[in-house]
Amino acid sequence: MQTLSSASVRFLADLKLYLLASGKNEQATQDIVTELENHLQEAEADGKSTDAITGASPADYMKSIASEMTTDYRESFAILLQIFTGVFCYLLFQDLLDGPLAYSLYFLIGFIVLISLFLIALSQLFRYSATHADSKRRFVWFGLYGSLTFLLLIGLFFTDPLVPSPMIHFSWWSSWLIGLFAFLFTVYTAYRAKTWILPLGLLAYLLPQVVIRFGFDGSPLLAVLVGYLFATSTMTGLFFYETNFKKSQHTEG
Amino acid sequence: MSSTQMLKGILDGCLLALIAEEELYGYELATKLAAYGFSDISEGTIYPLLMRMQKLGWIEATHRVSPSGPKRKYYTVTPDGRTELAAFTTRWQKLSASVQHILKEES
Repeated sequence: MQTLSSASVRFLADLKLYLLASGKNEQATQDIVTELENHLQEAEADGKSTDAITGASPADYMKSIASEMTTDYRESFAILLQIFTGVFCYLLFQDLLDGPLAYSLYFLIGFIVLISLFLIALSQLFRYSATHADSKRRFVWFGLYGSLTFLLLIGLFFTDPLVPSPMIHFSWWSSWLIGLFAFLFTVYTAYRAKTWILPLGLLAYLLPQVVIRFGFDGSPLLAVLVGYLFATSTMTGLFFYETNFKKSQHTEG
Repeated sequence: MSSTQMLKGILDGCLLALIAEEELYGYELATKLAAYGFSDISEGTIYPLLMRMQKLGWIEATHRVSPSGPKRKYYTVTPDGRTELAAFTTRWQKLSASVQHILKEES
């Protein structure tokens, strides 16, 4: 099969990103991307360019495709839940190492609001990024939003003890039960999404911490730093492995 | 007004007519349209229209491996699509006759 030009490959990747960030169904998105990929392959074999298919504005073309697709709220909700659980798992297990769980209402609500705002902004940014492929400004926006959310989360952690708010305390048993359910949910969503980055990254984050803190009596700060390094390298390695694996499977298929 | 703008409203009917003749996939449809003189419109224009016509139940799609290799999405017209095609044909004939009439009177 003929290889696509880099312009077509980029257009298809941008279209996929735009549709998924717009909350469109994953299967329906894959269908239209595959159909256009086949079209582009035949068109390029006949000497036509990507522009001949998308028209003068690929951004407008993406919007016209999106407008004909229904938004899959159920799938969007499942993805949101997966991200929430994923982010919350790191926090939850980190806290479990220090003892039974206890959260203030201020922290729980603040956390949900912040992550929701971040995800909404991220979805808008992905859509902007897909339709402004040549703009360097999109990297600035990603950096700004990422840093702002990070700063707000740090702010939430620091202000949590200062703001009076009801505390929710859990016993050891219920804390571990919550932990077990959260981990099983992460494994289940990873199985469904066919990517093991999150549960393996979580293990890489926690296991070194358990060994350092309880095996060698190391300080919690050192344990977090080592856990962070292990998790980052494991997740980066897995990301590249899975991307290349999927790419090679796609080329073979 | 450019011919692209004029075409927009009637492309649905043209696509339906082509698919009604024989089962076709996207690229074949685009090349057939171009062969009939619709070369001004970009080929991708047909896909949002095909999606809409599928939603309206005028056409159906089946995935099949093509003789040349890759799996393709072939489109066929449904009974509702045939009814719509008949309605489109009547609308177009009336419109075309009216335009012809005006143009003849002016020239």
